[in-house]
Amino acid sequence: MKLEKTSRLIVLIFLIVFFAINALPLKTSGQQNLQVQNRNTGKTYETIQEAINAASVGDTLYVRNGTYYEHVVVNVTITLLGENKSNTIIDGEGRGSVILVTADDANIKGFTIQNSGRESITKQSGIRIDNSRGNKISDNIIKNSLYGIYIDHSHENSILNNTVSDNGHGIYLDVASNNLVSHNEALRNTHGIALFSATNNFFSGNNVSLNTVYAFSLSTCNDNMFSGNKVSNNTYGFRLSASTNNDLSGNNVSNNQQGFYLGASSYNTISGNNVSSSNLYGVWFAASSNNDFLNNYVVNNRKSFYLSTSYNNIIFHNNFINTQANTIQLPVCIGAENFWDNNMEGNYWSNHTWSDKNGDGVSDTAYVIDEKNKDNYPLIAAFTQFNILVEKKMYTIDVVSNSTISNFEYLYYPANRTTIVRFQVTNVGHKGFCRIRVPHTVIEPPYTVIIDHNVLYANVVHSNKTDSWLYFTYDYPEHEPSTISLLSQEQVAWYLLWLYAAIGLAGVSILLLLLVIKYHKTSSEQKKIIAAYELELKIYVREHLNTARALFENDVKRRKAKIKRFETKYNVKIRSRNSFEDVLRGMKFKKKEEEKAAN
Amino acid sequence: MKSITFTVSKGGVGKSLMTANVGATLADKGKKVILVEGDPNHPLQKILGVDISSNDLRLDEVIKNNLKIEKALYSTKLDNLFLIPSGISLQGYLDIDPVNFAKKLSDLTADFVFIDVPFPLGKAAFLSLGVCEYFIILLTEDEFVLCVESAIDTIRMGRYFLHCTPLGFVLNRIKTPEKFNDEFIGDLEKLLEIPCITQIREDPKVSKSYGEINSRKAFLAYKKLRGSEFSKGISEIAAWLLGDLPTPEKKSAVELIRKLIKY
Repeated sequence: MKLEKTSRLIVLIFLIVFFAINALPLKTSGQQNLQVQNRNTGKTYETIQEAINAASVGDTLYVRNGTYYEHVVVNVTITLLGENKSNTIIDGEGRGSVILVTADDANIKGFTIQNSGRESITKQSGIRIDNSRGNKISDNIIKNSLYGIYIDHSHENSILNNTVSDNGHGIYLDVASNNLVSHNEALRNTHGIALFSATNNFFSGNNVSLNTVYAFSLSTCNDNMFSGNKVSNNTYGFRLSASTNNDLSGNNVSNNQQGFYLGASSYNTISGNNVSSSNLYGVWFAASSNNDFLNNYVVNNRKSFYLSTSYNNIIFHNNFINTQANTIQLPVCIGAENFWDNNMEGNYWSNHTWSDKNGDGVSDTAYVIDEKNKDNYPLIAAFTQFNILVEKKMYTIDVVSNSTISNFEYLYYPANRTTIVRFQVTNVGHKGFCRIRVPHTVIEPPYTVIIDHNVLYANVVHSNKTDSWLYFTYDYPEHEPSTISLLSQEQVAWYLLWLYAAIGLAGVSILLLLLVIKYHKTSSEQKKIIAAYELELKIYVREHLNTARALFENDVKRRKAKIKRFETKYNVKIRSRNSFEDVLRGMKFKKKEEEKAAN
Repeated sequence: MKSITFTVSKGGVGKSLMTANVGATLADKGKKVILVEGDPNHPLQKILGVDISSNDLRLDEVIKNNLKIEKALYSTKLDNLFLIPSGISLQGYLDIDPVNFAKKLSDLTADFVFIDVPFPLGKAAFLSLGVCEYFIILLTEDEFVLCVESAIDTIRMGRYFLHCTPLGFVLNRIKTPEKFNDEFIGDLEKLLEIPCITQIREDPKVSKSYGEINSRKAFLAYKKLRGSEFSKGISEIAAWLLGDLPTPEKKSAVELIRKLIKY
C-alpha cells in the first residue's frame, strides 16, 4: 500500500512539473527563438548579420518570425526573405540605418523594418541603398524611420509593393536614376516620395496619401515619369521645383491643399490627370513656362488654375468643371501670356455660356481670362481622348460630346473593304452631339455615320493630311446605349470594277460547270452506295430473322414438354404461339404489303 | 447505364406504378434514375407530381427538332429522379424517327433508365424491348393464363428478335396467395425459364395511389405505405436491379433499330 502511494505521488509531481513547464509563456522576442537559415547550405544562425557574413553570392537567407534588434549590412548579393512581413521584424532601436545595402542585385522581401535613427546627415533609414544597383525591395512594411527607403546614388533598383508609413520621408531618391517605384503605399509620412536630382525614374500605381507636406516632391529632377498614381489628402500633390521634362500622366490627384505646384519648372507634360477637390488651387504654376497641360479633368477645386509669372504654357483639351459652390473656375494669370487653345480647339469650361451657330462643337465666343489670356475655341462639351487598337498599333481618337461615350471598337470587313469605327453613347438627354477627330490611318474619308440603323448627317468641320474632324447630332436614340458607327469603304477605280466583274463572271461559270459534273458524279456514286447499303440491310435482316427463327423454333421444342406438364398439373390450356411468323404477325411486325408480297 | 422496361400483356397490371416506385427507390439509394414516359395519359407525371406545362419541351419535340435530350429532362421532387415526358404515345415515335429516338435515349447518362409503355405489343415493342437492355414481366392473378401465354411470346420475341434480356417476372396484385405457393411459383419459373423476383398482394390503397384521372391526389405508394407488402415487393425489385445483372445481349440499340425498322 505504502509503495503504491509513493508511486502515485511521484506521478503527480511529474505531471505538475510537466504542465508547469508547458504553461510558461513563449518568448516572442529576444534572441532565444530567433533563427536565420541559409537555404543553400542548410546552416542556421542566430542573427541576420551572422548569416550574411557567412553567405555566398546568390544564397537565400530565410528569416523566421521574431524581432531582430540589428543593424544589417547587406554587402553580398543575397536574397533576404522574411517568414511573414508582419511578424518578421528588424528593429533599429532608434539608432543608425536598419538595413544598409551596398551589394548589387540583392533582394529584400517580407519584413517589417522599423525604428531607424533620426540623424539626417548620415541619412539614417529603414533601408538605405548606397551606391548600388539592381536591388529589389518588395513586400515590406517600413515605418517609424527618418527615411523609409533611401535610394542614395543608386540606379536600376525596383521598389515594389511596400508599405512605407509614418516616416520622415517615405521614399527618397537622391541622385538616383532608372529606378522603378511601383504599387507602393506611402502613407502618413511627413513627406511621401521625394526626388532630388533624380532622372529617368518611373513611378506607377502608387498610393501616396495622408502625408503631412507633399506626396511627390521633385527638386532639380528631369525626365521622370509618373503614371497611374493615387495622390490624395496631402498638402501638395505634386510639387516640382526647378525640374524639367517630367511626364505626369493619368494620375488621380484629389483632396489635396494643392494638386500640382510647379515652381521654376519648364517643359513638363501634365496630361490625362484628374485634379479634383483641392482646398486651395488645383494647379499652380509659379515662374514656370513652356509646360504642356493637356487632357486633364480639373474638377471642383477651390480655385482651378493659378499662373504667376508663368508664360508660354500650352493648356488645351482640358475639362474645367465646377459644380460646387465656393469653387472658382476662372484661372488667375499674373503678368504673362499663355496659350489656351491649339488654334482649333481649346478647353471645356462648364461655366461658359456658349453658342454654336455653325454647328461644329466649338463655341462661337471666346472664353476670356484676361487681356493676354483667352481660350479662343472653347469646347461646348467635355473632351475625352480614347485609344483604339488597329492592327496592333495604338491610335488616339478625340471626342467632344454631351453624351457619355464608351467602348470604341475598330472593325474591318475585307469582303466589302469596309472599315468601321464604332462606339456607344448613353445619357444623351434631349439632343446629343458629337465632335470627333479620327486619324486617316484608322479610317479614311469619306465617312458615313449611322446611329443604330439610321444614317446621320455628318459635317466634316475640318480635315488635314492626317486627320478629319466630324460633327453630328442625334435626337432621342431608340434605346440606350445606342451604337454610333463611322463607316468608310475603300474606293476602287472603275476599270478595276470591270476587271473584277469579268473575273467574277468567269469564276461563276466555271463553278457552275464543276457543280453540274460533281452532281452527276455524286448522284451515281450515291446510288451505288444506297444500293450497297440496302443489299447489306437485306442480308442483315434476313440473317437476323433466320437466326431468330432458329432460336425461336428451338425454344418451342424445348418448352413444349414443360408447357404440357404445366397444363396437366394445373389443368389449364396455354396457347402460346408456336410459329415464329405467327408471333411476328401477332405483334404486328410485318407490313401487310410485305406479307402479300411474301405470299 | 442499365435500361429496363416492365412488360405486360394487358392494362391495369400496375406497370406505371411499378416503374415510378422502383425508380424512386433506386433514386433514394443514390442512383441517378431517368423515367421515360411513353404513355400519352401521363401516369408518371401524375404519380410523381411533376407539373409540365404545354410550353415545356417534350421528347417528341426533341426528336423532331433534333435538340439535346437534356432539354426534355425534368427533375422531380426526389433528388436523382428525373422524368422525360412524352407528348405522344410510344407508337407515335415510329411515325417520327425511331432511329433518332434510340439515339437520343443512348445520349442519356444515368445509372438506370426505365421506359414506361402501356402495351409493348406491335411495333411499339421496337421502342421498348428494342431500345432496352432488360425487361421484367408483370403477371397478375386476373387473366393469369393469358398473362402466361403472352409472357412466353414476349420472352421469345424479346430475347431472340430484339435481343432484350428478360430478368425475371413479378407476380402483382395477388388476391389468393395460397394458390401462389412455392411449388406453383417453382413450376412457373421452370415454364418461363426466368426467376420470380417477388410477389405482391392486391392492396386497394396501392391502387388509390394512382389517383383518379385528372386528379392530383396520386402519390408514391412505396413511401406512404411503408411496411406494406407493396413496399417490400418494390424494395426486392430494386435490390434485384442493384445486384449483378446478366451481361446484356444487345450491343447497340441504335444499330438494331436502324436495321430492323427497314424490315
